[in-house]
Amino acid sequence: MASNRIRERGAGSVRAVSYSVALLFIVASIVPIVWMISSSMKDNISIYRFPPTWVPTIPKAVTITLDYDGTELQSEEQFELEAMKAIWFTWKKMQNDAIGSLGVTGVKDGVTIFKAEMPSYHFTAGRPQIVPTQLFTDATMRLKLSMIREQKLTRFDWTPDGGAYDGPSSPGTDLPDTSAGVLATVNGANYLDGRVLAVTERADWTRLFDNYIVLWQMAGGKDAAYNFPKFLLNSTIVTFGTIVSHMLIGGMAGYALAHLVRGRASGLWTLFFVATIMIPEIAILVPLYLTMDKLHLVNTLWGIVLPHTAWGIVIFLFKGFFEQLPGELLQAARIDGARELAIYWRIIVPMAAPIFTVVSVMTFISVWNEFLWPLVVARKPDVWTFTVALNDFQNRQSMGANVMMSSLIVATIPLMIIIISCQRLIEKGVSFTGLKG
Amino acid sequence: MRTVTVTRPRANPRRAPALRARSRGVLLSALFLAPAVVSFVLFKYYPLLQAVYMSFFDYKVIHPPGRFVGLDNYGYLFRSTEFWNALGNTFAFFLIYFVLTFWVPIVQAILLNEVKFGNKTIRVLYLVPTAVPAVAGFLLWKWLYNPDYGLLNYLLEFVNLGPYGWLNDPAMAKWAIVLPAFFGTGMSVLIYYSAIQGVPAENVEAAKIDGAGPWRRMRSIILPSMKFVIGIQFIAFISGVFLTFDPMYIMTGGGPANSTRTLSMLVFDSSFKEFRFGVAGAISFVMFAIIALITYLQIRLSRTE
Repeated sequence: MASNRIRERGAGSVRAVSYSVALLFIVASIVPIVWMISSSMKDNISIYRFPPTWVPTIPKAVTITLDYDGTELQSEEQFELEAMKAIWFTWKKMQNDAIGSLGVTGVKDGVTIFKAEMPSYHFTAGRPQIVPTQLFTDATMRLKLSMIREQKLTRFDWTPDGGAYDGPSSPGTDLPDTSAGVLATVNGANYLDGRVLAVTERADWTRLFDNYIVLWQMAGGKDAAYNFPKFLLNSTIVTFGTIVSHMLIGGMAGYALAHLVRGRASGLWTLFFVATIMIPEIAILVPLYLTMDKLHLVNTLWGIVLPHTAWGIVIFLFKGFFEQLPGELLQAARIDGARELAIYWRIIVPMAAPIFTVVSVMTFISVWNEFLWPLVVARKPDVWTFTVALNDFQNRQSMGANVMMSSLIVATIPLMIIIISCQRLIEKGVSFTGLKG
Repeated sequence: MRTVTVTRPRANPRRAPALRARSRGVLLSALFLAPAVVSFVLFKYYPLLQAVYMSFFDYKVIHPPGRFVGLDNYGYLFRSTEFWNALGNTFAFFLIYFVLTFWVPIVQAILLNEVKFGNKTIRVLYLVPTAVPAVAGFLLWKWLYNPDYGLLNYLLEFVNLGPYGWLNDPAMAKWAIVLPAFFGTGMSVLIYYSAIQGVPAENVEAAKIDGAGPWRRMRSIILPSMKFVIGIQFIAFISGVFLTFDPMYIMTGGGPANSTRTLSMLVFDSSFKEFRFGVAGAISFVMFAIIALITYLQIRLSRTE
């Protein structure tokens, strides 16, 4: 009895080593993920700053107040043009500074007559069209104004009967860096009629998620290669289509092998299916593509899903499970006069829920991750899965690393949910496939 | 038991239509198997045969199969430096994957077995890197490797190392491609862990009584009893590594200086970039043959042991 309480020699060192190895691996594998999240929240400028920072800086919302006392301007149109010039031209001049959003407030005779504002993702999206060069004239802005309105890039509120302006009336002396830069730019600019009354700045943490909004906004564009929600949808369709096909085709074949086909034939058919595990995907890539071409299934989601209906391991797992079901039960059902299909649907399928869930989770993980086959068979952006799209994103100049990282995170979330919530099922499935297969 | 007694009296009247029942059974099995057979023939066996068939032709998609060239595609392969370079790279990757990844989950699982408090949490956390889709993981690592703005060079600077070119450096690119897999072994850990759970407790207890300490038990009881799983995993590992395509295609595209162009990349390039389907078929077949040979040798070796 007493000896039980004496600690075994080496137990302490084993425990110490075990915990530290686990800790080391976990920390080392979490660091990249933390970095991915941090990168996805950085603005276009600080993402390419070296040395990099771990915590993204909270973007600054800068507001310029312009005073129009004594100017000729009257109509809404004229003031809107002023606001657009103030925002777009100033921002273009300061495009290497991290600005979260830029706003302009117009004051005339002590009354706030307009307010305009634009977040940084709209500036990034519109920059190539609206301010391609540093040519800041009224004529260019007049030309671009319709574009800005059409794409709703800059918000403009016209409030001629607005309340009295009661904000600061001088720019102040000790402005933070960003505002000081804005002030200097606006003061030195010759494209504005108004006089700078004040420049204010506040931290706006909601702008941290701008890269995700950019991802969403790009989807609305004309170029189908940026439609990230569509790609996620395609991946979802392909994944669930494959799972359903495994339930139907694989499940039925597994049942037939376990209970309908008798004697040697069963073994031979099993071999026929399971031996295909040895056929490497890349070896049949080209003929499979040509087959799909003949069936007119290239550039369709069917073309991605259909080859997945032939997974030897799935039939193997189903067969193994169905063999464990008691034969007496089926016998009894047969005598009741139930037809084989009815037996399958009413008795087998409900009982097979455990194997169906295990196979579904395993299928989900591998099909969601799949890259090579969609890359080959989906040649048009309309049918890309997100994996193909991500690979395409990395070659596009207009995708900054920060937006890229936000797309990676969005793609990770569904898989993360499945893996964490189905951890027990995965362990089950892994022990099936790993030990037997 | 009860059902057996019920069925017996009915056995007699059923003998007469037995033949009809059997042919009905065949029909039924055919009905159940048909979809799977069609899909396996169409998507596995037919393409495999066609790949071999194609490799004997100067294959033309518009007028298949094109000109019969016999073994010329194979001859062309064996004379081209590209093929030998790719073959060498593939074997080099195989070695690097072995050095960096194969043993890792075994060690992790054995040590995990010793962890009592927080065991489940660690298993979940081991799976977290697996939860990043593979393609996303490669792109993330590419960003970490970025020579100008990457995290890795920044961190290594603190210990006075680097800066390294990582994926841009021909001497380093292979290692840089494999390194992410070092941290993504979660699934394999689970396989080995569940195998260790199957080790009979009596064996471990007996070793304990014989005076074997925990380190000794790992070496003499647990590791040997995992031999079967390790063997199976090794076969899967061989074919997995030989066919690896995604990380090379995504992270380097075969460069720099062809240092990461493997056989699977060669298949992809020669078919979908150069449209030489016959050559692609020949490479596919060579790969298939190599994998089959290695697997066969492995099984033979483990049997003689």
